[in-house]
Amino acid sequence: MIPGALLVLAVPLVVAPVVYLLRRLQSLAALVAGLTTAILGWLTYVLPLDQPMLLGRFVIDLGQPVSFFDRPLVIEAGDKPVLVFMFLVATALFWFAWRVDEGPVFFAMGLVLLSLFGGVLLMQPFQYAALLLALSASVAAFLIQGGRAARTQAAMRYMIVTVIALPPILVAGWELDKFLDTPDQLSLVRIAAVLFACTFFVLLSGVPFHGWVPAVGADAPPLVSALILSTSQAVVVSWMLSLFNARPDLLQYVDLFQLMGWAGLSMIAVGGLLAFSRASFGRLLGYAALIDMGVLLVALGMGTLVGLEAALMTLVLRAFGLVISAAGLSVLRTRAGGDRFEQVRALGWRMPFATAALILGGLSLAGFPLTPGFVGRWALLRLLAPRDTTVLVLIFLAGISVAVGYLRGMAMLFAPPEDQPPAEAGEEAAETTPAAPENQPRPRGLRLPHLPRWDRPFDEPLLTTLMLVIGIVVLLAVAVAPQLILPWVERIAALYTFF
Amino acid sequence: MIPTIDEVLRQLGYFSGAAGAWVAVVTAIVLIVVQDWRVSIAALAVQYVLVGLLFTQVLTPNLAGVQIVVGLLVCLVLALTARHVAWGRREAPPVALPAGPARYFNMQRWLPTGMPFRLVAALMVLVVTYTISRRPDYQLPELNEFMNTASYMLMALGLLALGLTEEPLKAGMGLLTFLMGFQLFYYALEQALVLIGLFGAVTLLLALTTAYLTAARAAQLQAGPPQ
Repeated sequence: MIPGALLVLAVPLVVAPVVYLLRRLQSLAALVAGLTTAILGWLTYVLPLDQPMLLGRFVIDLGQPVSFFDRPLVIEAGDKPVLVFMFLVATALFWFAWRVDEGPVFFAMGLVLLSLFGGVLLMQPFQYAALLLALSASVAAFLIQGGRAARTQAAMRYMIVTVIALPPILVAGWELDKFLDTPDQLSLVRIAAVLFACTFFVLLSGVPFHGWVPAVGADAPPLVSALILSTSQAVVVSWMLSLFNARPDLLQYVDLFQLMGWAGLSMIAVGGLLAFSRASFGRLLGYAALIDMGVLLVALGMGTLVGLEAALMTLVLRAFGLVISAAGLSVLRTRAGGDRFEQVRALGWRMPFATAALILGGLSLAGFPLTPGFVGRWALLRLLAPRDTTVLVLIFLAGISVAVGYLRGMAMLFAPPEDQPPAEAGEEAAETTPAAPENQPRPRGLRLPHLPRWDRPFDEPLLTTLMLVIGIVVLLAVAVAPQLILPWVERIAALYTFF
Repeated sequence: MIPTIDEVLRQLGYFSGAAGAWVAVVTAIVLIVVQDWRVSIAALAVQYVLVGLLFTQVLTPNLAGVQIVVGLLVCLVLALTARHVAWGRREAPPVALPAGPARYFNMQRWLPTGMPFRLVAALMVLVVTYTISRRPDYQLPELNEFMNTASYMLMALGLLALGLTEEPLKAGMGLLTFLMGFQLFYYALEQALVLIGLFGAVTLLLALTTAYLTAARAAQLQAGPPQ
């Protein structure tokens, strides 16, 4: 019989060396890594926790615990949706990475990272999970750097923040253990609650510990950014919720909900102030993710079940925006050699599908209407409207700031090429557009980019285009019919009873 | 005959007390003040040995010995990487030195511009942490006086080292110092073998990541200014 915990933790670790050996055959490595996570996600979704199931020749018991040095590793009801979410997001990212350079270790280290994240969710007690999270930060640093001789701030910052967050929660564990021996010393629980708050404030990138988020957006390969910003933060949020669920008494001594609200507001304010003026899509993605995380914390900070539902909705839907936006950005970045606005100038004409994915995903992170992000944002704004108009306005303005940033980028993507001398432009126009009037170069501002060949109008490979189109269609489908996701979100929220 | 870990630790017993704690703090200051990577790595190695000796106050000698071995492995990894990137000489901006004997009287060679600032900052942190650690309200549980002070100081100096540099190697050493200060405190609370093993894994992986990022940064600097 195969225990579920062993399945989700060991299989990625076993496949990781295989995909590392296949790294030169990138398409095959992407396929193997994606299939692995897809199968794990599917198995985690379909298999019940309370009884073993026969799959082919194997009997799998998803809920059976595994002992790791006498510590139990077990999939619980609250872990299952997060594992499914994590594996599905990774599947999409691995398959989008089949033709873009995300670093030689993206697939292998990505699988190791998923295994460690799984360990964080399943490991008991939480002190051990905290140490696994620190291990995962070191692994993530390799992914963020991606084998490039480039700036190292993003990888370093992510690692530092995660390690710095470690001590408080470890000491909190000791305080809680001691409280079991001396239940009359309530100060121990109070201290533990404060220490918990410190750890999660740092891990959830509350200001001033937010610097790694835009840095990862700017410096890491786009799909790696999406993987870390969507899965790592989902794991941290889920871990925090399950800890509160297990120890609801912690919430009595420190107003952790209020703290979450303030942390979220600080992230929204900082992100909103800086997002609109960014000049690169990667950094803009980072600030958009920061604001979105702030919105999630504001929703959690309401301390109600509907607030939790709005937060979980935001958490799920932000993954759509992040993945699609990062997929588009990775295609553009591969072509342009960077993601600064001036580097991608005029690429929108040649790569319309990548551009559409980038802009739609970005607008979703901004909470723009008719995108998935709008659904979660709207749910929260409706909850906030009767309570706190100031916060509502702040969230709204921050969303506008991100949208303005993306629209500025879009203007550059569709701007006419800058460095083309008029004579050369005229020659090219003569080759490709014979009907152009008298082969005369047009005035700069009015010149439209030409299309190289009628049978190959765009510079995007067919399969990449197909995948981007599927991504865009899924994004729009979720925007149009969010009720498909809502029942799952409600079911997950019902698992948490600490309110 | 090769001495056992117990015998070695017994011979170095003097450094498992207050003297060892203070020397460990001095090595943390050296990490912050001195920019030469060779000196920094040597200081980190001494720090690992001394903190390992301090661990004998709370752990069995064998476990403390393992901590020292892990620390020395970390230093080996960092030293090999630093050697590979020419001990960070490419990191420092080039300084035009005069030829002949005059080069030995060059002020910048012996006293780099940032050194006084770093020294003052480290001393200020030292004073603040010393004051805090002496207050009864801030006494860390299960620790004696000098371990308490050393733990505070190593954590604070590690954070200061992190804040003063963007070089991965120096920042990594700051992070390891911070972690060492915390371990000094935490091992007094928890002596579970798995926790100590996981801490060892975290330390080694941090060192590997630091080495990798150091190499990446050096390659970037070699390639040209950042885009």
